[in-house]
Amino acid sequence: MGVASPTWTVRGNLPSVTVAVGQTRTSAAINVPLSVQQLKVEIDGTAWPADSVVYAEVDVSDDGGVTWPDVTSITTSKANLQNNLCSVGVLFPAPNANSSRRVRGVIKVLSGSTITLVGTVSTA
Amino acid sequence: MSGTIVQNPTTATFAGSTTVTKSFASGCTNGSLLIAMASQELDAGTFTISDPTNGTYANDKTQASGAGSNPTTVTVRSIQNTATSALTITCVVGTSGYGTLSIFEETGMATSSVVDVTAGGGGAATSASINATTTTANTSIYCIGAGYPQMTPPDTSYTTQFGPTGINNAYHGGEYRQDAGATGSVTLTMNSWGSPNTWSMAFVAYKPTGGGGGHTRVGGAFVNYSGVTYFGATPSGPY
Repeated sequence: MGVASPTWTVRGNLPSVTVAVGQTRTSAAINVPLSVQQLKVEIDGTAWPADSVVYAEVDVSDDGGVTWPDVTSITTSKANLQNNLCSVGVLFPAPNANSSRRVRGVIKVLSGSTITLVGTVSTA
Repeated sequence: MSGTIVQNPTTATFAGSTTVTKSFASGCTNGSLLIAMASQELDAGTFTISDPTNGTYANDKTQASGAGSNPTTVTVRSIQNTATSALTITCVVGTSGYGTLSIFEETGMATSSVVDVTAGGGGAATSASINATTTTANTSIYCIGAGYPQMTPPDTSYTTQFGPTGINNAYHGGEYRQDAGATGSVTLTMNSWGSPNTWSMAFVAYKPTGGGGGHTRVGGAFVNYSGVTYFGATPSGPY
């Protein structure tokens, strides 16, 4: 039985593009609404080649997107996905009270084959 | 005198991966203590936590829930830092799944034998709490837990690091206390339920510089080495 998971709201989509080995794709900066206590980048790897090693990063800015000091990442591949999904996120110690807080996702393919990016940035 | 937490970024969550990283925003201080707390939704899960300069962190306390519905494993680890750069901490779990990673940098901590006491507990029970007795004054205590179906807010005098929040099949939460004050019994509680539920929980108390031994005088209270507090009395023993 699963827990009562937070109510996630999709705030933006990652760019729907192909990402070749060595390429990096970065989403637009997305506003983090007040009171939000967590956020995540979630990627659908259903169509990933088995040999692709993917790096996904979520960055948080507290100054409107000028600097991105809060960096969190995962490295994964198709064999490690859970229900064909992976995610990387951030838990704030308290509800967001900063109207200048922003989030963005960064995706790289470290090795293997080109992937087609399907993913979202969500908050709860 | 207690240590000082100088960096404490947000907690990372991960799913569908064996490798999660979290970076400090600023350069670290040579000689500081780096602490990492991690959780995963797997019984007897393994963790390897490291950074590029200091290597693999010491396993100060790891606690598994044991088999059962919604099993979890949590850990608290540390290493003495020698870097001055903004380090990225990497946590590798043995099996891909769901979990969290929190990191801290604390200055003013002992540079050897930094662990004062640890506590851990887990299983299927109607309540979840752990206890240990600190032997050093002014320790810094870091605690992480995971369980189902719910966790309570942080313990009195502790600060929430994250959660409690549902990750997948369990709730995860972390708390800390920069200065635990005088020596004595420390009991931290995750929850109390009406029926047995699966949980895991661990805390580690770290010593400040100088070991924090002896006694401290705070607000008129005199605390001796064994943690007995005398309010307004003249201490008479060998302190």
